[in-house]
Amino acid sequence: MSQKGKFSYESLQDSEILLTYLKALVQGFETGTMRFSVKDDEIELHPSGLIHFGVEAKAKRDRMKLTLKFAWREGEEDPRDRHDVLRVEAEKP
Amino acid sequence: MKFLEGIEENLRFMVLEVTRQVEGTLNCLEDPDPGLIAKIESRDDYIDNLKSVIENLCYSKIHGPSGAYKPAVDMARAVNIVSANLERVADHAVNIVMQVQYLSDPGFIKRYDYLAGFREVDKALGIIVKALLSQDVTLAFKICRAEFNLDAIFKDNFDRILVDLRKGESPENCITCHNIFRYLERMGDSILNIGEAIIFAAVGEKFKIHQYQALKDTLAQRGAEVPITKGEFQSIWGTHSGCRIGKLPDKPGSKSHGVLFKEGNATKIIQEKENIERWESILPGLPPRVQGFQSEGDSASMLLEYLGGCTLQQVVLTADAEIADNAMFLVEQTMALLWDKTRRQGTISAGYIRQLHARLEDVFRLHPEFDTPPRTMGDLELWSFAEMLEATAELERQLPAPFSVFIHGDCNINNIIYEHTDQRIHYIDLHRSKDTDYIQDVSVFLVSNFRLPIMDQNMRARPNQVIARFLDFSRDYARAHGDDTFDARLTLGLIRSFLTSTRFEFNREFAKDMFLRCTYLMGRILAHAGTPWQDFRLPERVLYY
Repeated sequence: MSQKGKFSYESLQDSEILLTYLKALVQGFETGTMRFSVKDDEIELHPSGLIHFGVEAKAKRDRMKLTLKFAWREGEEDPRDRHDVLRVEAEKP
Repeated sequence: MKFLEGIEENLRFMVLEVTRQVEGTLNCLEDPDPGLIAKIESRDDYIDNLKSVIENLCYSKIHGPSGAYKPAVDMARAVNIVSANLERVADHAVNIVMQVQYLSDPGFIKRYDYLAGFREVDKALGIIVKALLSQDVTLAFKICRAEFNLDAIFKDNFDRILVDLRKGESPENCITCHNIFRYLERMGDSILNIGEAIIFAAVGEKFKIHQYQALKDTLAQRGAEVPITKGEFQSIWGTHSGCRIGKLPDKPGSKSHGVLFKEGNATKIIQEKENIERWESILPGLPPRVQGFQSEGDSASMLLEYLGGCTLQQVVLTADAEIADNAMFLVEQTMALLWDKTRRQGTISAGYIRQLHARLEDVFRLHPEFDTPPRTMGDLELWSFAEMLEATAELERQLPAPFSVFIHGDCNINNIIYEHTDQRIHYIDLHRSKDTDYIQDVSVFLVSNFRLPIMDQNMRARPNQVIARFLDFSRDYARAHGDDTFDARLTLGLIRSFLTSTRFEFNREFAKDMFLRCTYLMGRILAHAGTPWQDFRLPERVLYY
C-alpha cells in the first residue's frame, strides 16, 4: 500500500485540552488506524510492526520542549510471499 | 556641500543640458530644422548617460561611509530623484520634437500659447540647482508651482484645440498640437517630483506638495509663517492611518513644546477634532488642544498642541520602577475617573469579532497561513479558523456589556502620555473614541504591552507587571460595578487584539505566537458555551509572553 499526503497542525493548548489530542493518538495506536484529514484530503496511517520511537526533552531556562517521534514503514510484504524480481537466464548458444 | 562631492558638478551639467534641450525644442517648434532635430536626439543620449553617472554616484554615497548620516542619505536620494526626473523632462522634449514632423503646416502651432508653457519649464529649471544646494523650501515650492501653471496652460490650449476641431480645422494638425501640449504638461509632472524631492532633502520628510500647502494654510490661520527649514520639521512617528504627522516648534518665547501637524482624510480628522472637544469637556487638559483646523474637500488638516512628557510605552520600557509605578497609578486613577464620568447604564455590544472581520484581509495578506483549513485527527474535529471565528461571533451575541463608557478607542500604550512634572496623563490619537464597552480599551492596552518586541525574559518582567496590575485594576472596576461577564468579554477583546496585532508584525514567529493565543482563546470560550458566563475565567497566562 502506498499513499502520499501531509497533515500538520499547530496550536496552543492547556494540558487539560491537550489530553484529548493525546487520547486521539493513543486510540489510533490501539486500533491500528490513524486518520488525518485536511479539507478533502485524507491520509490513513497504520502503525504496526516495528515502530521507531524517539523521545527528546529539553530544558532551557524557562522554556521546555518535549518532542515525540514515531516512524515506521507500511506496505512491506512478507518476504515469504515474494517472488524474485531478478531472474538470470542463460541464452542458448 | 561636502556630501555632494563629485555629484554636484554632474548635476549642474545635467540641468544645463536639459535646459538647452528644452530651449532647442522651442526653437524647433518655431523653425523646424532637420539639423536641430538630429542634435536634440543625440543630446538625449548624453543626458541619459549623465543620469546613469549621477545614479551610480548617489548609490555609492548611500552605501559608502556617509551612508549612516541621514541628511547625507536624504540628499543623495533627493539628487537621484531630481536627476531621474530631469531625464524625463528631456525625454518629453524629444517627444515634442518628434511630433513636429507631423505638422503639415509648421506654423499651425503658433495659434496656441506654447511659449507660456516653455517659459514655466525654463523658469523652474533655472532654480533647481540653487534650491537643492541651499535646501531652500521656498524655492522648491516655486518649482512645484510650475506644475499647477503647466496644468492650467494645458487646459487653456486644450479647450482652444477643441474649438478648432469643432470648426473643422485640420484634425492632423490639431491632434499633433494637442500631443505637444500634453508632453509639456507631463514635463510639469516631472518638475513637481523634482520640487518635492528638494523639500525632502530640506526637511528630511517625504512631503507631498498638497500636504505642504495644507500645513501652510493651517499655520496661516494661526497667524504664523510657514517655518519649515531644515530641522524644524521633525517626524514624530510613522502612522498606519495614512495621516502625516510632524512636529513644529512653537512661536519664540512660548512655553509649550511646539505643535503637531496632522493631515489626511477629512472624515478621520474631523472625527478626531470632535472627539478631542468631547474629551476636553469631560476632563479639561486630557487631550491636546486644537490650535488650528482646516478642511477642504476630502482632506483636512489640524494643528494640535504638542504635549511634553513621554508615552507610556517609553515609561514601561525605560523608566525606573518607582516612576513606572507612579505612571501606572495615574493611568488607573484617570481611567477610573473617565469611566465613572461617562458611564451610562444599558447594554451595549462592542462587536469585537465583527470589528475583526474588517481587518481580516490585512492579516491574511501578511500571514496567509493563518487562514487554516478544517482538519480531523482521528475522531477529533479541528475547526478551520473561519469556522471558529463564526462560532465565536455567534456566541458574542450572548455577551453584551452592562454599561457603556466613552473609550479612547486606540488605547495602546503609545497613545497615552505621562507628564512627570505635572503628574498627569494625556490621551492622544483620538479619532476612534466612542461610547462603547470599556473592555475594548482594556484589551487593546493589555495587548499593546504584550506585543512589545522584547524577547529577553528579564526585560519582559516590566510589561508583564504592567499587564498584571492593569488586569487587576480593571477586574476590580468590573466587580465594583456589577459587571459579571468581564472575563468572557475581555477574552473576546483579546481575541480581536491578538489577531489584529499580527497585521503589523513582520516577525513571523511572534506573529504566529499571537495568532495561536487568539485561537486558543477562541477554543476556550467556545468550550464554555452553555455554562453561565459569570463562571468563565480568562486563562490569564495567555497575557504573559
